[in-house]
Amino acid sequence: MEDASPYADEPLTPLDPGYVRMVRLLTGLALAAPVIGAIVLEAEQVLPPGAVAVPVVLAAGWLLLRLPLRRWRARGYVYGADALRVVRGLWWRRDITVPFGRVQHLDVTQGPLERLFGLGTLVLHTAGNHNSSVALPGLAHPQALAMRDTIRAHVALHSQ
Amino acid sequence: MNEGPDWRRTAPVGMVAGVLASLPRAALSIIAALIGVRNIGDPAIVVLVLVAVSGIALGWVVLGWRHHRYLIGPDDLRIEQGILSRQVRAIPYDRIHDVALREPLAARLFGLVEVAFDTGTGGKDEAKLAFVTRAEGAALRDTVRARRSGVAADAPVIAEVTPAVSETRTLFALTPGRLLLFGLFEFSLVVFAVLAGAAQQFDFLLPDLDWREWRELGGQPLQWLLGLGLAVQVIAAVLGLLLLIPIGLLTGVVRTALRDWGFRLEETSRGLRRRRGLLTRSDVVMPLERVQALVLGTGLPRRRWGWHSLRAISLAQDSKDQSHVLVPFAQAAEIAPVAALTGLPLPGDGVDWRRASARWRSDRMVLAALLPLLAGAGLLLLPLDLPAGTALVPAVILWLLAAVLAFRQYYLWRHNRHALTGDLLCSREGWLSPHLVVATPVKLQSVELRQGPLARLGDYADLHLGLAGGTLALHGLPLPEAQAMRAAMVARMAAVDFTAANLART
Repeated sequence: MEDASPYADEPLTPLDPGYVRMVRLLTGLALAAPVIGAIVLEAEQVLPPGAVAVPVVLAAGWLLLRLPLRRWRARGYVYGADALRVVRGLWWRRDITVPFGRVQHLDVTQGPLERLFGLGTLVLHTAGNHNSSVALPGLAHPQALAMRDTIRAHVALHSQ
Repeated sequence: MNEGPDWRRTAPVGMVAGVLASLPRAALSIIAALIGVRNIGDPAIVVLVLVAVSGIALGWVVLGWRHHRYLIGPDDLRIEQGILSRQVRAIPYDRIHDVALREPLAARLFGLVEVAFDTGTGGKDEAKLAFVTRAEGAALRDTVRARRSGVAADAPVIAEVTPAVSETRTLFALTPGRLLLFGLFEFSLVVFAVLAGAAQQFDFLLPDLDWREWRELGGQPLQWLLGLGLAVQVIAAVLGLLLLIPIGLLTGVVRTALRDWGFRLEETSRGLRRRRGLLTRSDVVMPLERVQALVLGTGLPRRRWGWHSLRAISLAQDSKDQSHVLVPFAQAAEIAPVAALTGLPLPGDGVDWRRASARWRSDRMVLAALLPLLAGAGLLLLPLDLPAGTALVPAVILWLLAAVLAFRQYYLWRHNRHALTGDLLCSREGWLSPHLVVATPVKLQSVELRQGPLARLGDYADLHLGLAGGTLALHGLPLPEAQAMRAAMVARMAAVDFTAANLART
């Protein structure tokens, strides 16, 4: 599977590079237990040397270094004049377009890790049963707020 | 956090109400913790742990309150909350369809209310503020209503009407004869489910016997029946099944009559008015501008004679348990004028119908047939220790099943179709009882292109459309076509705002 976007029609804006670092930190936290386990097994010398530690460390390295980058490349958005397009997914690609005029209300959320990296998530709520809330993570927090304000102004302007 | 002058906090007493309201949910963990603490033994440690835990919980509640605030801005309402995960919500006044003041028991004790802002997202992740004083809640509601720019959405949308309606025109009425025919097609064996349920509920009323005793109770006739041999037993079983038919038909007629007796659909100045029901009469009005899409449905036997039903999909917030059947049972020619009136006419001839991609069809056929095919092969090839010859028949049955499933996918590809012509999007899907959805891009909420690994290899995509109050998806479109459709629909959607598309204006 190619890393590049399959849609050549419109260039996607990439997410903030901080998103890669955040995903790496998250993956690192999740990987800590198996890696420590593997090293302990290695130290105990119950199995032939390297039988557990080498594959585990290799897999961990791939998950930690390569995968977050691929996920970052697979994600992106197009912030158009009257619609926001959010693309995500490495294997199962989802490409959602929400016109600003269909936004009911908006959130900017920031989890503890996102705060650490100065990131924020913009959430658009629509009246549709499918995709009733569309989240765009991995924006720089001030940019998420600015996008929120522009979209909100668009709503107020056009429903008059 | 910039402490602007206009930011307000919820009522401090609300913390107590919030804790009270969450007690029932937390009860289990509190009991578990108390039992766990009992095992420690040393009372000093127990007291210390309890004090520490309560202190932390209390601090958490206070922090939560400190971080929960709202601002009545010039164009929108802002609500901030969350201690570790922060959320800032912006709700434009124009999008607030209604403001509800709720008083859960815990809040009522302190004279507080929860303010819920209905923004048309159908109750999912709704915007609310808990808790504020009753006066503040009322003031908030008035402020929001005042700031909203002249949108007439306050009136309950589907309401019981006291008709002072001037001009009405009957669009469809269900005659008793038609109702009887409709009921026959609504064949239902639900009565047996009800009986079985009742037998389980009231089994204490039945004598407590096992099957041997029941057989004795059956006495001579049953003994005689059991002695008759297989052929007679089969005939008896068939007769019993035949008896199900009149019961099922009767159930269908009775249920249909109860629901749809005197069904009448009228055009009024406020929208479509529908009356129906034998024991419970219902009388509802659906404003035309709130209709999001139409669904033309049918059923397996009734399709043979051209009987269809027409249902409207309406804005999500209206649709809790509301049925939006506009025409329950009619020929297409009777339905067409009703559909045309809602602005979503049924597609006529000369529509440019399109099919899904051929590659999608092939993938689906292979996927559908794969499992039974492999299972059949496995029966024959794996060393399963079956008596000789017994594996062949099930294997052939499995392969036949595979063929049927593959054919079903082929049939679906042949007969499913969609069309986007100007302002109308039509999609027909289904095997035995296909349904046709007529929607308009102007009233869609979002467009999603979805591709799995196979779809990316085969260059096709699914198109999932955000429809308020329902779902609509087109499957397996060739990628360039899907992209072109998305572009066309987004352009139409962006040109008209949600409020303009869905609400009557004053």
